[in-house]
Amino acid sequence: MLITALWLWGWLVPTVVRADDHAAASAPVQYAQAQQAAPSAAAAPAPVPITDADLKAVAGPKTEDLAKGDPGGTLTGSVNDIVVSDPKKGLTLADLVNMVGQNRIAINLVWTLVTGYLVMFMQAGFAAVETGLCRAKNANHTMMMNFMVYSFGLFAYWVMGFAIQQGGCAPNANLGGLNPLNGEFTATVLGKPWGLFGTKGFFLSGSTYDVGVMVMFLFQMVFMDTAATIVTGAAAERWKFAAFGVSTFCLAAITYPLFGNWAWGGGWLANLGTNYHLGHGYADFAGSGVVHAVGGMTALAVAIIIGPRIGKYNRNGSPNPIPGHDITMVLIGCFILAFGWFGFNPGSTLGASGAGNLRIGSIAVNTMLAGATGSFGAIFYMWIRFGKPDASMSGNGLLAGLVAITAPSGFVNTVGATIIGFTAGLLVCLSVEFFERVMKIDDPVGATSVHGTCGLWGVISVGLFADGTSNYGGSWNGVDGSVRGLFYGDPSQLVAQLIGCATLVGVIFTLSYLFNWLVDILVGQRVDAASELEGLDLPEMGAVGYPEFQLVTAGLGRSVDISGQ
Amino acid sequence: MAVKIVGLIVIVLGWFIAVSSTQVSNTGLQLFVAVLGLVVSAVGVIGILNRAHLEHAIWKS
Repeated sequence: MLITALWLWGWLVPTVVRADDHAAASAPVQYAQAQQAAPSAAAAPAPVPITDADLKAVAGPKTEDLAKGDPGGTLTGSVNDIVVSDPKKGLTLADLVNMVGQNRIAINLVWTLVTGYLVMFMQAGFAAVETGLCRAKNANHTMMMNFMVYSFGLFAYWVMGFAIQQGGCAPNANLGGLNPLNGEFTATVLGKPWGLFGTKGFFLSGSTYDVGVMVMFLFQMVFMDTAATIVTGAAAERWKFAAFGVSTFCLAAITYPLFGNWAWGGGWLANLGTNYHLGHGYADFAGSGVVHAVGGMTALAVAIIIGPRIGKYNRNGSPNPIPGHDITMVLIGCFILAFGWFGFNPGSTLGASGAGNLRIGSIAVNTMLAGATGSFGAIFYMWIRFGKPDASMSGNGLLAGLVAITAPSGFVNTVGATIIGFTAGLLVCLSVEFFERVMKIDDPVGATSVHGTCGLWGVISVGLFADGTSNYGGSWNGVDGSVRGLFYGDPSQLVAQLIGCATLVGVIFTLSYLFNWLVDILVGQRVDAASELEGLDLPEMGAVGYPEFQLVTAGLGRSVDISGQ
Repeated sequence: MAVKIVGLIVIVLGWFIAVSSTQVSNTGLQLFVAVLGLVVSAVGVIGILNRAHLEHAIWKS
């Protein structure tokens, strides 16, 4: 441990010094490069303004040359392709400048859409992981929860969730302004204006029928869906399908959008910096808190209400392992999720052009490093503690590292990412044991630990490891400069992060608990004991996941015929 | 039922304590108050609310 601590300190301390001196150190380097590259100022010709006449003199490739084909790609894309506003006038400087602006926004829209598609594909990963970690007799039910969460969640988010979350998020320079999203309900609290929820964008109607808003909706919707699908894992194998539907609607329409607004939509957490001088306000780059901890807190609330599966605990409270039915499905699902995370984190720049967005490469590398070290941390713990490199916990370690790096991915360097991921890998193992043995909460897939515990760790790690080198347009949450954590000179950022964590536990958990308590009273959260013992595929879904197999329920002393004959 | 409501109140109280750190001028004290709020909320979840649910846990019946 001492050697490890010294090694980490050796990495951190020099980095602190480098970060503090970054501006001074980088300036001479740039100066030296400029001296080598350019002739002296006296010899340089005076700049000449470009006129419309100059543009008309620029000749594009001839049509007959283009007709021969362009295998080298040297002719395609030229002055001929610039859109002119008035063909009679021909190309003007205004056309050229507008084209540059639209190209920047186009790059950002395409980037955000494509990364959103990657995040959407994560649903397949979640479905595989959760179904693989459940017993075969619940395969159809678990898969269907993961499948239908997409539709239930999307509908609720379109109706009201998006408006509550992003209805007041304008302006956003990366996506063309998003000016229709200009309604935020605020109240004066502790002498400062607190943004509480957005008011524009219900049903995506009216002025929010806008190209930029549509891109924002798609991207934010798949994030919300990720949070919603976390809950299905914690309540798997005993959750009534109707209750799941109502619970998902509550998360997608209210609890997730509320925290999303406070953190990303211009709400009060984001403004902790401008209002109370707490760093740059609550900083959550891609959603360790907004997405994963909200999902984790809701999963915890549902798991507490719904109670453990039959057979999970003995009469003396000691837990029994209930292994999943397909570890290959679990690990393939983990890989799908790791792939999708390249949409989650780098995509959260909401652009690839301008305003510091070229940091996407750094964000992607941080993501892959933290995932890898997360699985390393988990396998390290399991191998030492139980003597075997446990496969499912290795997968959970990978996800834990990815969850933890989600908030800090845009603010930290690779050493920070490595430490954050490895710590998350250890943390998820400890957390699983704590929830199972101390709190006696049955979470079949470890969702509360992976997304709740490691989500909170990710939020806190921003306040520790943010290195002050990011520059997304010169400010973050309205505070000039870049986000800097405790180890890089700004302890007040850690305070903002801790307030974010307290909000997740104190408000989001409580709201989720109350909503699901109400669902329990009105609909009933849990299936009856006979259905649970039989498996939920037939009683709840009317069809089994594996109709050609005779499944034996281990530990219950009987076999269950699920062939449906 | 009553214990569960007490648990929820304690959880929300923790959030109030954490938010009250914005009214403190010293950064070290702010950190302490924010952590204190988080701990109070955690006690509400782990020590009160969950314990109330475990009273009637399915494996005890």
